[in-house]
Amino acid sequence: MDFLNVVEIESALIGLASKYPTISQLITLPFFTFEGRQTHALLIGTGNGCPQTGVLLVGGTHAREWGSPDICVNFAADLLEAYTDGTGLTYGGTSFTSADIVEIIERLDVIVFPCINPDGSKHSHDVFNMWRKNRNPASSGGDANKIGVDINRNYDFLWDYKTKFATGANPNSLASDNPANDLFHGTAPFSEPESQNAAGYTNSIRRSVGSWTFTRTAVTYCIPGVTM
Amino acid sequence: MADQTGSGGADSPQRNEYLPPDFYAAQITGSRETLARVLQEPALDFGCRPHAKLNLDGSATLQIYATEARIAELQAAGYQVERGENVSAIGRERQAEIGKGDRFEGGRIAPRGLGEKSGRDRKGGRA
Repeated sequence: MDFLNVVEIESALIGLASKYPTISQLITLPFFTFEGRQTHALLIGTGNGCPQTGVLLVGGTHAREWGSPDICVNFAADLLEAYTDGTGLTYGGTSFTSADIVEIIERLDVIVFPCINPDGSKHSHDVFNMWRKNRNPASSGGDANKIGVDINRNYDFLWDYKTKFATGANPNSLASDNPANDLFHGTAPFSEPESQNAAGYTNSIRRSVGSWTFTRTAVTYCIPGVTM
Repeated sequence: MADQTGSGGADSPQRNEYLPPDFYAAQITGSRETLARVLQEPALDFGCRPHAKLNLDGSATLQIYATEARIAELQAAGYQVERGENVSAIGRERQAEIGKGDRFEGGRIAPRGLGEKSGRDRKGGRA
C-alpha cells in the first residue's frame, strides 16, 4: 500500500468526519504553513455533553518520517469503525476489546493531528527524502541549505536549551541555533505556524491533554507542547 | 482536495536547489567515553535523538546518518564506524511509493484502517 501524500492525509480526515459525524469532528487549524497549506485534526469522542480528558496524537513532525501520518490516519479510521460496528481491534499481538473501544470513545477526546508539517513532508516525498524540518526560509539568508525549522525543537519547553541543560550535555543533539543544522529551533518558541497549530489548539480547549508525538525513533508521551 | 499551494507553486524552486550528497546509515561503536565524544561532534545526524545500544562486551553503539565523506572523517579521527545502507538511495526508490492523486477524492471516500476488527462482542454499533 502506498504512503499517503499530503493531499490525501487531509482528504482522509474530511472523509472520516463525514462518515462518522456523531463521533468525530473536523478541526481546521488556524495557522497556514509557509507554502500556504492549511492542516486539519480530527476530534474523536462522543463528548457526552462535556469536555473529556484529551489525548493528542501528532504525526509528521519530522518530514522524512513518512510512516507517522499514515499510522495516525489508520488508527483514527480503525477506532471509528470499531466503535461504530461494535468490534474490538487487533494490531499484531495486541488486542483491544469492544469494551476498550467504548471506553476510549466515550471517556476520552482523542485528537488526531496526522501531519503537522505538510510542507516538509511534501519536500521529502518529492525532492529530498532525508528532509526533516519545515520549509520556512526566514532564517536562511537566501541559502537553500539553511531553510527550515525543526518543529519538534520549536515548542516553549526547554527551547532555550543552552540555559536549561548542563554545559556539555550533548549540545549537538539537543537543538541548534544554526539554521543550517537539522535541529534548528527557530528564532523564538512557537515562531512556526506548525508548532502554533499543535500547541494553540490544545491550549484553547482548556482541559487536560496528554500528547504523543510519533517519530521514527521514539513515541514520546508529553504534556502540551513539551515534546523534544 | 487539491494541494493548497497550487500546481507548480511553492514547490517549483525547490527542484532546482542544491541537494546534498547521499547519506548512509552508520554505526559508531565504542566505550562510554568514546560515545560521549561522538555526541560532541558537530552536525552529526542521530535521527530524532541519540540512542545508544549496549553491547555484551560493555561497549555501546550509536546509529548515525552521514555522508561518505563525514564517515571517512570520523574513521580518520579514530572512531570505529561501520557504514550501512545508503538511505538516500533507498528513499529515492521509495518515493515511488508515495500515493498519486487523491484516493479519498477530497473526502468523498473515507479511509479504512489496517487493524483487524476482531469479534463483535457487543450488540450492534454505537454511531
